[in-house]
Amino acid sequence: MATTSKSSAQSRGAEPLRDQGWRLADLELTSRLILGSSRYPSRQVLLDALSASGTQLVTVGIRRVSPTAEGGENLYELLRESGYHVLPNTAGCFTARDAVLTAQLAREALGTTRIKLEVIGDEDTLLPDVEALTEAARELVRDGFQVLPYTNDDPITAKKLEDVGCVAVMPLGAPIGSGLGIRNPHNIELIVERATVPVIVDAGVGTASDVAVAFELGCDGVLLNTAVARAREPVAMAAAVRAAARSGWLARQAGRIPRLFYAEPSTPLEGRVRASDKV
Amino acid sequence: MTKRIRLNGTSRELAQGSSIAMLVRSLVGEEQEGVAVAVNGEIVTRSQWPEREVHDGDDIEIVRAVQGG
Repeated sequence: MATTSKSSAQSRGAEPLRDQGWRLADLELTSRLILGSSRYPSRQVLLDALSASGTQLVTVGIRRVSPTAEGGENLYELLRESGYHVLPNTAGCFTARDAVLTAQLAREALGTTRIKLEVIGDEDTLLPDVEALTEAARELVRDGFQVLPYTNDDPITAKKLEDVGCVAVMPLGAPIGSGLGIRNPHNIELIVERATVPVIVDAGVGTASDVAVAFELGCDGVLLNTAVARAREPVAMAAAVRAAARSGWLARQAGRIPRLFYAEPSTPLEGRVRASDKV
Repeated sequence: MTKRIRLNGTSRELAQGSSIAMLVRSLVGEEQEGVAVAVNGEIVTRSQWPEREVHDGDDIEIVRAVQGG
């Protein structure tokens, strides 16, 4: 029997897939990673890690100016001078009211209508209070904000947030800072499948493979902070997650094989050698 | 007569005739980029700082960007 399945990919010269970039809120981005600016050992390591990750968008918090605090370096200025777009958050807000006021202060302080909306339900898990989150999202959208809500990995909530006018949905992989990875990949896939806005996994990433998984599931972006900032070598980890993002995205575009319950031989069974029964 | 206000959650006394601009300067000096102010839950835009008087009983938030995730 003639050889039937010789690959023709080589002769066709498979075209390499290229990420043409994506649109998030008012931004045209080439990097699919959004990095946090917190918990780095130093400002210099922060800047080096951001650079190694290739990110273009960096999250910041909004906090009361402390009268005792030294002037120090102005983080916003530092990021702006380094060419990063900023994404302010409402981290630490436990009510829709606090989150809305924080968002309004962020818009005034940083001159952007982008807001990573967090409304937290409890201090131990830092999981979202989805009811208050949806309420705050609705109010902020009405007020002209581009809302990127940090939400549960729940497809119904994600859809509701999209319906009230959020420009993206950001389901968690696992609790903030936990590094537990993507605990419910099927839910993330369901959210991706039904969303018409970008889906960004926000929180839970522990290492590079978690980033790859998010993109393999079809996410448009990944937001991470602690996984890089608290790695033993933050700059090296930033480079690792960058490579993982590319790998995962490429794999998604390439299209994975279906999962099978039993084995399927990759070497054809036909023409196998059989030893004679006779001695 | 002095005024009693709440500034970033702490009670504080102010001299007569203080504006938001003066209050911001007293807190952050001249480096005011990236600073925002709310009085009684309403944003006071930068251009309003010089004219906006601080009133007795005002609840004032003065914030800026910090590291965050």
